[in-house]
Amino acid sequence: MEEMRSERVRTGVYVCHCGVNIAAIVDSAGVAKFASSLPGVVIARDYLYTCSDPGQEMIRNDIKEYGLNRVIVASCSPRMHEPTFRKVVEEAGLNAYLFEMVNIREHCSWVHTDKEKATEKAKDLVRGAVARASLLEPLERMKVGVIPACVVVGGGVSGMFAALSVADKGFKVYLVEKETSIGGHMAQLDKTFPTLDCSACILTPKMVDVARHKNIELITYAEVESVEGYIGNFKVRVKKKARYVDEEKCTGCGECAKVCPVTITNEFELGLSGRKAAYVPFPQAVPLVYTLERDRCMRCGLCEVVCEAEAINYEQRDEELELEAGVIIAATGYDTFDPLKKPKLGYKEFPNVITGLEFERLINSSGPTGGEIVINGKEPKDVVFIQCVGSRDKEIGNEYCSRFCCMYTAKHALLTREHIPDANITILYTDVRAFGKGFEEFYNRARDEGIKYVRKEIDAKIWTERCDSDRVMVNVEDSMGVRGFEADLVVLATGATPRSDAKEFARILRISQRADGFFMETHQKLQPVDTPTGGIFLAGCCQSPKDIPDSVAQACAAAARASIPLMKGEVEIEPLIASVDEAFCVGCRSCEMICAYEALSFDDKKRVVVVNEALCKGCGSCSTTCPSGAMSVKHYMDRQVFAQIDGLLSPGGIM
Amino acid sequence: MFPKIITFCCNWCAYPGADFAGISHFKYPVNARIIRVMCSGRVDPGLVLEAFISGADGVMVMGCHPGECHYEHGNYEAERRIKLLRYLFDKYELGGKRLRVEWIAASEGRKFAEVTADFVETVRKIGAFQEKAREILEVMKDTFYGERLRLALGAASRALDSGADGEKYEETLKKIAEEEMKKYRVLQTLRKEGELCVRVVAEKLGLSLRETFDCFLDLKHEGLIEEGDIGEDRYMIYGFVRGER
Ligand SMILES: Cc1cc2nc3c(=O)[nH]c(=O)nc-3n(C[C@H](O)[C@H](O)[C@H](O)COP(=O)(O)OP(=O)(O)OC[C@H]3O[C@@H](n4cnc5c(N)ncnc54)[C@H](O)[C@@H]3O)c2cc1C
Repeated sequence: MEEMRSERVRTGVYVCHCGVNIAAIVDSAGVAKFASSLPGVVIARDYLYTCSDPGQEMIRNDIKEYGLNRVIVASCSPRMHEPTFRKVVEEAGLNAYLFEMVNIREHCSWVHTDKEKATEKAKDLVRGAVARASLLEPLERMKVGVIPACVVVGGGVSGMFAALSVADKGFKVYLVEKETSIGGHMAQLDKTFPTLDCSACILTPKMVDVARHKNIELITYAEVESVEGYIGNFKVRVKKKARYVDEEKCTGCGECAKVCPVTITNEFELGLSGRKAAYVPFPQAVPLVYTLERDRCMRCGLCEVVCEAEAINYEQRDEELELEAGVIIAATGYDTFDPLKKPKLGYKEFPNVITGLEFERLINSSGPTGGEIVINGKEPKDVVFIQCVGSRDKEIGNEYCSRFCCMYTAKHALLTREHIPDANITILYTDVRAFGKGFEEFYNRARDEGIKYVRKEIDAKIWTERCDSDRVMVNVEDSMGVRGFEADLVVLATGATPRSDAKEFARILRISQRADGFFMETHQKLQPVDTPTGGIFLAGCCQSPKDIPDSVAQACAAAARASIPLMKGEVEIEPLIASVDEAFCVGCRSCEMICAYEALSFDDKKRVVVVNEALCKGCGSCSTTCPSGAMSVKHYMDRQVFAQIDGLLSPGGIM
Repeated sequence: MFPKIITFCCNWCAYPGADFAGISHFKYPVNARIIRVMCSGRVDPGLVLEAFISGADGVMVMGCHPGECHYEHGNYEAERRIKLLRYLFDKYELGGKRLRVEWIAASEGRKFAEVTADFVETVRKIGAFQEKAREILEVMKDTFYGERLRLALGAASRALDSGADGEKYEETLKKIAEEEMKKYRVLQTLRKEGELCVRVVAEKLGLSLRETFDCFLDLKHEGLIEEGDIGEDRYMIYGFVRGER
C-alpha cells in the first residue's frame, strides 16, 4: 500500500454521452476537456456508450498504454454499472477499488434542464471524483462460504415454484408459510384464465410435490421473526405456532372436526361458510394436518377421545426455530383490496355485492354453495361486474393496475354464462387490458358469448342503492352522464394491494418498498428479481401484482438467481469495512459498544480494538464514534471524503 | 453558483431515492452535489464542517426512514449529531437551517426532488456566510474531532439506545459542546497569533478571565499547548505545541 501511495497517480477519465441521455443536457466533450486539466489526469475522453464493448475495450487499452492507475467513468448510477466497470479495470490488471464512478445521468442530465448549469455541475462532480480517486487504495475482496440452503418465505404458487426449482438443483429449502396450508390465493380460485383449467387440478399435484420433495422442509403455520447475517450466512428465526396437533401423528382423517362442537367463520371461504375450531382450511390442504384454533377451542376433549392416532396435544407450545441459509426468497404475495374503503359501492351493505374472490368461492364446486351461484336464495339473472376496484385509483392511493382483474372478470363472466345461460351479464370496464398470451382471444370469447362490455371513465363515480326488495341499482356517473344498471348480483373486481404486514416484513429483511408498497427490485428491467440486499430475491405478487403465468416465471427466475451463490459455494464480500490504526487506538472501546454487529473486540494484550472482518458490514458508525481518529472505513476514509468535498466545491471556501 | 449544497446520501435508501428521481425525470435545482456514503451514520459532523469550510452554503444528510436503517441505528446517530451541530450553528448565528437531516426511501424520488428544491430555497434565503464564519467553523470542526465531545456522543448513543432520558442527554451534550468550543477558540487564537497571555485572549474572545484560564489549563493537560513566559499575575502566557490531528 505504501508503494501504491508513493507511485504517481495517473488517472483516466471517461465521460459518457449515453446516446443523448447525457449528451442532450451535459456537454460531455466539454466535461472531458475540463477533466484533462485536473491534477493527475493523463487521459480524458468522451464516448458515446462507454459501457459498450468498444467502450470497455478503450478503457482496457488506455490502462495499458498510459499506465493508468486510477479510472473514472462519468456516466450513469454506480448502482447500474459500477460492477461492469470494476470488472473492466480488473481485466486490465488494475485493482477494482481504484475505479470511481460519477453519476451524471440520474443525478444530473435527467433532472436538470439548463445545459450550461448542468455541464458545470457535471464538471464539479468529475473534479470531486478525480480528487477522491487520487487517494483511493487497492482493496482485496473477501470470500466467504455459502450455506447451501435457501429459505423461501410464502407458500403461494410463487413460493412453491421457487422452492421446487431450488430443491431440484439439489439444495436444501425451508419453505415458511404463515397459514396452515400452502397454496396461497391460487388455492381459492375456481378456474384460471385464459385456459379455464381448474385451479385445484393444476395446483394440488404441485403442492404434493412440494411436501414430498426430499430437499424441501415445509414449515407451515409459521412466521419469520428476524433475519440476521448477510448473503451466504443468514440466520432466520421462525416462530412456528402451536397447532395442538402433532404433525407427525395426524393422518388427516378429520374425525376431530366431525366431533368439534365449536363452529366459527371460515376465512378460506371468506366468511361465506363456517368451519369447526378443529380444521383444515380446504380438503386438499398440504400438509393435511388439522389445527385447533387456539382462541376458540374450548379444550372440551372430544377430539382427543376420537383421535385414533393420538395426535391431539393441548400442551403443545409455539416453537422457535433458527434456520441457517445462504439465500432467501421472499414470495409473500398480496392482499386483495378492501372494498369497504369505497363505501358507496355497498359492499357488506347489500348481500348482492360481493368481491371477485368471493365469486371464485361461490362458483367452486367444493365451495360453500357447492358451486351454485345463489344470491338471496335464488339464482341471479342480472349480473354486473365492476372493474378497477381499488386499482388505477389515485384517490384511494393505488395508481397502479393490478394486471389480473380484467382477465379474471372476463373469466367470471364466462363462468356465469356457463352456469346461468340466460343471464344478462354486463361488465363496467375502464380499459380492457388483455396483454398476455391468449388474453385477447379470451376477451373476444367473452364478447362472443354475448357479454356486454360497457365503458366507464377512469374517474367515474359509482354507487349502488337498493332498487326493489332484493335487487340493487348500480349507478355510474362520468362525462357520458348518469347511467343505471339493475342487478341481482354485483361483483367487484378488487385489485391487489401489498400485504398488510409488508412494511414490517421489509424491515425484517432490510429490503425496500416502492411508493405503492410492493417490494422493490434492484433494477426494474435488468435485475427484476434481485434486491439491493445481497442474497435476498423476490418472486410473485409481493414485487408487483401479476397473474399466475408471470408469478411462476418470476419464481423460477428468482430460484435461478438465488442458486448462483449456492452453486458457487462462496461469495465475494465488499471489502468496505472498518480498519483500526493501532498506533492511534487508545483502547477506549467506544466503538466496540456502538457496533451493531459485534464486529469489534478488544485485544487485551495489545490494548487495542480489532475488527472481525467477517462480521463488519462497513456502516462506519465506529469511525464516527472514535475519539482518537484510529478507526476508519476502507474506501470512505475521512481524507478520501474530504478530497471529494473539496473537489466538488472548488474553487470555493469562504473568502 | 449560489447556494452550493452538499448532500450526503446513504447507499441504501437516499442514493437510490435520488436515482429514482432521475429515472422519473423529476426536476430539481442544480445546486446540490451528492456524496455517497454507506450509511448516514458515517456522516461525521467533521465531514459536514469540512463541506462548509470548503464553500458549501448548506448540507443535507439523507438516510433511511426511522426503523429502516440498513445498519440498525446509523440514521439515529446521524440525526443526533446533526441536531447538536444545528444547535451550535444557531448559537453562533451561522443559521441552523443550513443543515438538514431527511429520511428518503429508495422509492421516494419525488420527495428527494421536492426536499432538495425546498432546501435550496431555504439556504438561498439565509444567504452567504459572513467572513468571520470560517473561523467559527474551524473551531467547530476541532470541537467535533475533539476527544471529549466524541466520547460523550458515543456514550450518549449507547445510553439512548438502552432507553435513557433523551432530553437530559441533549442538554449535557450541548453544554459539553459549548465548553469545547470555548477551548478550541482559545487554541485557534493562539495558533493564529502565537504566544499570548490569558488576559489578552480573554479580551479578544469576550470571555471571562476565569473561563479563559480554565481553557488554558485544559489545553495544557491535553498537551495541545505549552507553558511560556509567566507575567505578573497568574494570567500568564502560553504558546502552543502540537498542531491539529
Ligand atoms: C379473484 C382473483 C382471481 C384470479 N384469477 C386468476 C386466474 O384465473 N389466472 C391467473 O393467472 N391469475 C389469477 N389471479 C391472480 C393469482 O391469484 C396470483 O397471480 C397468484 O396467486 C400469485 O401468487 P403468489 O404466490 O405470488 O401470492 P399469494 O397467492 O398471495 O401467496 C402468498 C403466500 O405467502 C404467504 N405469506 C404471506 N406473508 C407471509 C409471511 N410473512 N410469512 C410466511 N408466509 C407468508 C401467504 O399465506 C400465501 O400462502 C386471480 C386473483 C384474484 C384476486
